Amino acid sequence: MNDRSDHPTHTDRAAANQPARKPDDAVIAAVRARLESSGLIGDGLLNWLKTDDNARVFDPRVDLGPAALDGENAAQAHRRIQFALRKEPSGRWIPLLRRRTARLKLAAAQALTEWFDALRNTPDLCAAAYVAELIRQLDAEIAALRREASRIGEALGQVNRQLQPLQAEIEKALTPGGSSWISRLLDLSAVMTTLGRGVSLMARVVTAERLVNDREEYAFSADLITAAIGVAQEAREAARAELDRLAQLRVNLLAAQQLLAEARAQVNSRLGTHPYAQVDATHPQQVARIGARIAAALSSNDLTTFLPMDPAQLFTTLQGAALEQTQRVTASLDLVQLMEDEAKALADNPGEAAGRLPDIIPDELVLDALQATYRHAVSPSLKVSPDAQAYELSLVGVTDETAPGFNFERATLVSTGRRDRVQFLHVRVGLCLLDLIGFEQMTGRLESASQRRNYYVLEALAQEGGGASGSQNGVGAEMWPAAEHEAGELVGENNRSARP
Amino acid sequence: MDSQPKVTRLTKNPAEHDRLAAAGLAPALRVLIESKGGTGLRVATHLKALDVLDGQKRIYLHLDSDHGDRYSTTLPDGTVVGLQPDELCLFGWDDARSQLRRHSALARRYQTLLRGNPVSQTYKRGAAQCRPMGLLQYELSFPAILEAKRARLNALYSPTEARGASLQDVVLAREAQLQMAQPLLDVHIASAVGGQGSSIAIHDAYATRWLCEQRGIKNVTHVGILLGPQAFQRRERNIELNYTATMRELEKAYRDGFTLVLPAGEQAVFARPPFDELYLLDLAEWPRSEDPDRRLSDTAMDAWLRQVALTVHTYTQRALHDRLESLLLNLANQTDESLSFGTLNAAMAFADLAALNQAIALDKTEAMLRALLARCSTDHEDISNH
Repeated sequence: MNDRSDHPTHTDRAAANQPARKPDDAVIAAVRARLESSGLIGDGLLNWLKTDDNARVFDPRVDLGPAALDGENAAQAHRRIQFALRKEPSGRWIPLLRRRTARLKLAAAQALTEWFDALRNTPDLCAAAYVAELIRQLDAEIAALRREASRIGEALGQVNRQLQPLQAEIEKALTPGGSSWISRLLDLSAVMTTLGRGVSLMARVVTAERLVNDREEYAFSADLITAAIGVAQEAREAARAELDRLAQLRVNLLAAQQLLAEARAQVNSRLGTHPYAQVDATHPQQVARIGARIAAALSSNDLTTFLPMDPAQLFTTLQGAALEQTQRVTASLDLVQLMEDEAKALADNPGEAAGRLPDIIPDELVLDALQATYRHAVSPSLKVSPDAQAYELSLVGVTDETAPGFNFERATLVSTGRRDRVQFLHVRVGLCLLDLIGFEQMTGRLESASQRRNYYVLEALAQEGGGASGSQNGVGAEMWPAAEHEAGELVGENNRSARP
Repeated sequence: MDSQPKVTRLTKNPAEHDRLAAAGLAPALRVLIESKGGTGLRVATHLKALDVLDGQKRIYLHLDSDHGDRYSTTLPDGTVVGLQPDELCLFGWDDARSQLRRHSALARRYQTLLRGNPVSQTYKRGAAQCRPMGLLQYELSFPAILEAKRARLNALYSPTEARGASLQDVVLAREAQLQMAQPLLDVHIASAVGGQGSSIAIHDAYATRWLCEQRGIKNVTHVGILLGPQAFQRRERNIELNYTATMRELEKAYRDGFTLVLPAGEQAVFARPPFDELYLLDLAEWPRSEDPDRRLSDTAMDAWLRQVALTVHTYTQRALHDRLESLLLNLANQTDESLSFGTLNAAMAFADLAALNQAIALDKTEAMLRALLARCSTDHEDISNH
């Protein structure tokens, strides 16, 4: 029954490239073709149901031959009258319809499953649009079948209304004495001849026979349509279940988008905002620039992979795949390279620098930034006399000292292995108290102030200041109190101004 | 330096660069940060924030008698960083001076140390710029402080108490012994001008030195980072006097050594200086945006303390510190026993490559989500369930 490829055609994909809210003609046509080829709609469905395995189309009508009532054809007359007097449709077709319906349902379910799989597995194709259109067309088919069933029901009622009085008349004619019509029927030809009413009765029998045949046909059609509706309903249920699965996936994807928004807020807050670094070269513009070089590819194009995932799993899976793809591109990227990329981009597109970095010379961007950082490190961190004999050295931590990318004058390069930073450490050692500007004057002031009050915690120095008695420097021999440590608790924000 | 150093561009060898970029990082240096007083707390908090940003872990112990001084810092992503209860040793008494009545020997000594401090002046926790009061609070709580130090050292070194004789016990004991030989950087951070931090810097450094010796921890470098005085000008009273007193005490300890009296009454005599390396850090140039006749604003103070934290953070990075130690080795041999100190400053150019990767990946994730949504979205609200 399935003479069409399970994979959507190029037309299918082209149609789905633009996921329109309303299905376009291409989707409608593709679904129509799919249903027709599957024998799920139209005459194909009915024909398939009433055709047996030997390709014989079932005919509900019974041909009883020419109407002739004589002694030789008594047996035939007997059959004809018996046929004309049937109260109910024979239902001869029911085994055939049951068999064919079951087989068609099985085949349709398999075909739909395969098709849904193909829809889920085709990139850039709006599977939901196809499934929704499938449901619409099946609904339309079911509605048409129901209308037809209604029409047939009315016709069947009409036939029954005509047939029932006719059958009553025939029965009455066959039982004049009130005896069983069956016994009378045993000698029907004699009765016909004898009563002289044979012609009139025969006409009634023929009419009833035609009506019974009509009723057979209508009843068959009604059962046929009921079976067809059953097949279409089952296909619809399968499609509905598929649409529900896709709808659930959509809900989960929307929830994953929310998780993404939360994660983005967290990450964006880290871009270019290192609270301790002098230069943070991570800008949102770089995200866009580097991101443009990376094509996002799903780890699997098969929606089936994502159907069982909850929003968190969806987000984690997609983010993991995206991070892996990103890291493949950025694996060898380091701070300096990143800054140079930015400088190159700014040189290529001066407009980008406008407003963000005033008066920038892109070519000097990296050099300037590193130089400014280096100079920040060597700026004074203590006021000492210009005559101080100190030993100074600068260390620059780079990814590797054998390939620093830059020459840092008067610095010792140190490999840190850190691609994300260039660290500067400036050290001055060998200073003494006399190198501190004004320390002698401060000592004089302390000596003077110490006459009034002690500022030292070493007893020896305290004694020098005030002449009080004491034994030694450091902490004197004591009896110690028991431990009464209180751990305390840290809560809240800075609630006091800085105290030394 | 005579002039500002210059940076020039070199030609990079891409192949070499890629090889090195793939190389792993050196293991982190084991660092114990011992901060004291309000300034120490702020620097320690910023250091911890740097730990969070760098994904590393250092061990912290903050000593303070001011229980009300709470401090935390918030990172750009909203993470609030602060020292945890087990990283805090808050000690002291509301009526420290009256506690002296219970300790006659202490009372005699503090008769000298508290000379000139009005009896009417109360110290409700904190030292309120009075250095002797800061030391008194410390000494009254010394057993608890030693216990807190032991607990933090336990975070770095497994206890070496006697174990059973099983093979597992022998292996554990051997591992504990090996740990003892691993290098540790013990960094004491305090202001040189305040009442609490500056008053206990020397005593506390010796206390840690004694504990390490007791524990058999052999490879420790005790580093002092003392801050001020310029940055604290006009912020509190006695800034200059406290600073000078601190410097003179350091000079004396470096020259004469120190005798630490332990809770049991025994004494530990040290000929060595309190710190193997001492660095003084200060605000050498008054910020242009700040009024030179007024004290430094809290914002500018915090900016400077962040700079101090970055400096300590950079100094304690293994690769840089190891190279610095080897460069300073010869110089150290040339110094005499008098007070010799240095100063440090650091700067950093940085790119959050991880955040960059994540931001790009999120853009790509969004594109993937949109592509998937396009494949399962349609206008099917008109489709009934039956």
